[in-house]
Amino acid sequence: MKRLHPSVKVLPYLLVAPAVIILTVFYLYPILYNIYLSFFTWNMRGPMKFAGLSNYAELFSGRDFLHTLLNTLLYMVMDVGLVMVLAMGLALFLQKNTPLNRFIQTLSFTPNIISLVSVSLIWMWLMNTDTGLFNYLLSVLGAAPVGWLTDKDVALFSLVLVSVWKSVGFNALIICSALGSIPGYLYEAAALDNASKRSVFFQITLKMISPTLFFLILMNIIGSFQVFETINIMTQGGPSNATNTLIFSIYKQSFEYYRVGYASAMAVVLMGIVGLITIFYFKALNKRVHYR
Amino acid sequence: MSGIVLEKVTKKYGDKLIIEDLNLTIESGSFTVLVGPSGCGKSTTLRMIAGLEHSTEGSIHIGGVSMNQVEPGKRNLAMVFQNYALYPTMTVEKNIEYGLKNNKVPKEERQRLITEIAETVGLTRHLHKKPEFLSGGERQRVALARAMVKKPAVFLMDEPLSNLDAKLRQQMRAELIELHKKLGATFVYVTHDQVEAMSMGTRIVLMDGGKVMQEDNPHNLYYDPANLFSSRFIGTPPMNILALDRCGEEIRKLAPQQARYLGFRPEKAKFTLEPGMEPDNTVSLTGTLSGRELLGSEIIYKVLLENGLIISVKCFDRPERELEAVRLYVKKEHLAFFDAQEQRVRVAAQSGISTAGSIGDSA
Repeated sequence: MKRLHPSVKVLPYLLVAPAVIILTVFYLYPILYNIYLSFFTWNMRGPMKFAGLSNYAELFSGRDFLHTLLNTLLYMVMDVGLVMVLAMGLALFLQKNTPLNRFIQTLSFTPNIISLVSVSLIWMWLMNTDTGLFNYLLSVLGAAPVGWLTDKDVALFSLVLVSVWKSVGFNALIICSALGSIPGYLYEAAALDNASKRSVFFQITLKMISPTLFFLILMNIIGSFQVFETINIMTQGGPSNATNTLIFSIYKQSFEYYRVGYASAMAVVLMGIVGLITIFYFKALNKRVHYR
Repeated sequence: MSGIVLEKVTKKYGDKLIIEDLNLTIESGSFTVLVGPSGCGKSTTLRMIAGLEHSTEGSIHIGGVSMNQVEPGKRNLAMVFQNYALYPTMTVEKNIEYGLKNNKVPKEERQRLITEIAETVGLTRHLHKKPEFLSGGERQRVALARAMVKKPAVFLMDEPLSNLDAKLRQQMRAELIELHKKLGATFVYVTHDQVEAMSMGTRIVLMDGGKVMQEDNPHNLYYDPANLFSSRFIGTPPMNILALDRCGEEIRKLAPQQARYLGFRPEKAKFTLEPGMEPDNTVSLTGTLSGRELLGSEIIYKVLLENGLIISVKCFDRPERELEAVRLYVKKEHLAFFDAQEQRVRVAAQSGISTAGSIGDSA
């Protein structure tokens, strides 16, 4: 083999260098620094004090963190479940490509392009216990008012409603296109196989779009972990911590209470959870989900 | 008992007329091939029999029962699609089982039938694979097995061999003929390939532009075409067609009054007077050999006739001829005449171009 000029050997490293540098500075370093911080006590200004595992010990011994974790999981289950079921229903309803359906599709997609801050403000007004439209409508129907954002049993669900309203159209759009890519001859073959509508839906439609559904579920799970704007604007984590989720708690602890080490420890736990879900996702993807 | 009758069937897509007033009787137990160029309506006809398309007008009966209100799955038929239409999410076993399951066949019975059918088509090793891991030929077998396992009275096949390579296609052709003999069911087979039609069909329905051009057995279709379309569609190379007004006096004298075209099969033209050919029972043409194709056992020559027309001559003798001036002889009984409407005009006392039997009832 011909000996390569030294500069040619260096060239590949030069070519990948920008990507490696950006990844390191903006992704790898913050992650590692976050883990590092979680072992210290620090208020952002004073000196950093090594604290060992005490941040973690505090996390798992106090009830606040577990409450927060539970809120986050509850929010995730309700949000992802509702979004997927409603998006699936909407997509099936919009499957026929008529002008009306295209209009409805566009309409249901619009919430997705509105800033979440404006959305939160508008829904906060709608859900106001005393002056909101929802309670006005309830009173017209003769029902008792609901403390949408003030009742600790309802508030988390109210936030889920906003999130569902915002993302159902987008999810439906993706499912719609997946439905459209199922070849028609499969339905013809099923018709000749005397398949019932139920069987066609579960055995063909659902299985054929399973990669898309799986992808959306993962995206929605990760998205639901990141919920922040609605909480920050509408409830501030209240009432009595009922809507306090991991991300919001991390924000509060670090930027309002200046407990950076404690917040970092929470962030590490969140990273672990998301990482586990992602690993599980890819494992399941290989096993169960069909790819053409 | 499982004959198919189409009565005055018309199919329109919007304003586009695909099939017009089609009357067709497919006999129970026959291997009927619907053949024709793309867009002739053969697939649409098959899909209407299957119930995947509804006829705009007319009625379809299978085994004497009107099918107009019957769902595809309840017609006691099975279909093999061109691309097989296997369920990609299911294993081979589940693919075969799906129809049985939907028909509420008990589990042990299903298992028995699947084992049996897998044995028959040689899929036992592949039962637990998904279709994406199978070769084209294996997928074809799964599609067949899926159809066969239901033991339907009618098999519909929409160009099932067109995705296979030439060798496999030939093998599957033989297997399908075997299968038809064994099952005794009615086979309706759609293809654009005349070789498939001729080699497999007991009955051929030749279609063009949504109409039946000729319906007959393979022998008659070849030797006794009812019109110019049939004569040109069937046969490789197709029948030589000459406009009569460009032919010599000798030939024009033979033609019936209303005839406008003359045709003869490429293999009926001979370079010499062979035994049985006398000057008074043959016509002769002169021209120059302009091309030669050696196809193994046979040679196809292109002949530029004196009147400027080019015809093909198929011959089986060796060695290959030099490309030079030749004289061709065709027995008079091998000439076919067609009128201005491209329909066959029969010469009195001519019952077929060759020794063919009765004249088929042409449509």
